[in-house]
Amino acid sequence: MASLPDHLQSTAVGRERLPREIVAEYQRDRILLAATGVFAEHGYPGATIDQIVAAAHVGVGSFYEHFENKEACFIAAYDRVAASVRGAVIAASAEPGLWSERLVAGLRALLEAIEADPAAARLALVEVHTAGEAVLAHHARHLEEVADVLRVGRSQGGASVGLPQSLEFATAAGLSWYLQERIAAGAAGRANTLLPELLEIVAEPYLVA
Amino acid sequence: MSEQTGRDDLALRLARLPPGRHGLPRDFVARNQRDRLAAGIIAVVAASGLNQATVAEICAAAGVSRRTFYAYFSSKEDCYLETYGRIVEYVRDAADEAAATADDWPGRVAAKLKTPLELFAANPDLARFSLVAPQRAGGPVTARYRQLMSQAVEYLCEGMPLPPATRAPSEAVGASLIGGMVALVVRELEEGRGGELPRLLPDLLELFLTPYLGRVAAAAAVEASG
Repeated sequence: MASLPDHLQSTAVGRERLPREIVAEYQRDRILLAATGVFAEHGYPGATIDQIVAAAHVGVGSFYEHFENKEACFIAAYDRVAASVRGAVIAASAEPGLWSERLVAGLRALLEAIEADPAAARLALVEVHTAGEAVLAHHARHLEEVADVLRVGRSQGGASVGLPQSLEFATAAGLSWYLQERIAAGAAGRANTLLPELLEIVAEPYLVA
Repeated sequence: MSEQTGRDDLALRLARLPPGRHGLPRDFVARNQRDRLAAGIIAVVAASGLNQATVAEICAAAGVSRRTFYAYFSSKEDCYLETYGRIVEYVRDAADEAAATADDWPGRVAAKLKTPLELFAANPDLARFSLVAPQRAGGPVTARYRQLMSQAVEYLCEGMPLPPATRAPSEAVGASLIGGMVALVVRELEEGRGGELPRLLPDLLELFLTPYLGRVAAAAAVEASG
């Protein structure tokens, strides 16, 4: 059997695969964006795959090409939001400066992210609790990471000797709880006004005499 | 030992009765069925969460029929919320009683925190039902839980000396404190240390009192409570 010259074979295959992957990636993103809105509006227990595919303008078959079920879709949507906010907070707080200045910058980035996308905030801080054990484990890892970052405050404040070991975990979880409560009360759209409260929650334990 | 009686009243003593009428007067049986349903939903929800729990499982655990269930409750959420209300009332009564013997505000806070820690340590199902399940249920159940958490802060702050004897942190601090304390309790439960919950008392007390009293006075209060 006669074969094509090499240069024709390989490029033909390569050219065909690349766009398909890009299309798939684009479609997955579109589903996740739509799912974020649906989960925020109806809550995880009440949301259906039908609502998600309708909002994403894709077929049910496309949904299952990307996700095994509703839970897998929620986890992917959560991870997408969490990665983006985590990146924004790290970038903001990485600027050189005093601990307090970096803390303010990090918290401000967190609140700006909440204000810019209330649906994503609701997904990541409110609905995450109702979506099963697997995504809660992802959330718990983020809280532990926040606790590790906060622990740096021990060497910065004036009152850091003898603080309870559990302080930072309690602060991270308390912050998450406070934000959840505010977002559930419909305050995500003015999250930026919460900066003084967040600073009080996070920094006071290291400063109070 | 009124504490023991109260705890039993929480459907736990009656839960041990085998199903059936036992030739008891009708109103007692009705109460008994209601109590058994309370014990049933506590066990089922503690094991699998409210959204996964079914009325059939609750009935099976309680040893009553579906018909009986719907004679008392319109839904599992209805049954959950009523049972939750009874637990909250019981914990509050027991905490009031324990706090009555303390002679200052920090002592009353210590008593109020110690009461649920001891109760939940003796019955981790009750802790899962009361602290884990409602956060994971969503909807009206989570809304009720949020309301109760904010009431818990008010309850702990009752009778607090006014500034300048105390500092005046914002309401956000109270909300964060209750969220953080519950998270520490839940972490113990998740890691299978539910029976050791009272060990958390010194940390919880210090975390809670510090924003109100400052660190020195809070540390002294923790010392006094131990």
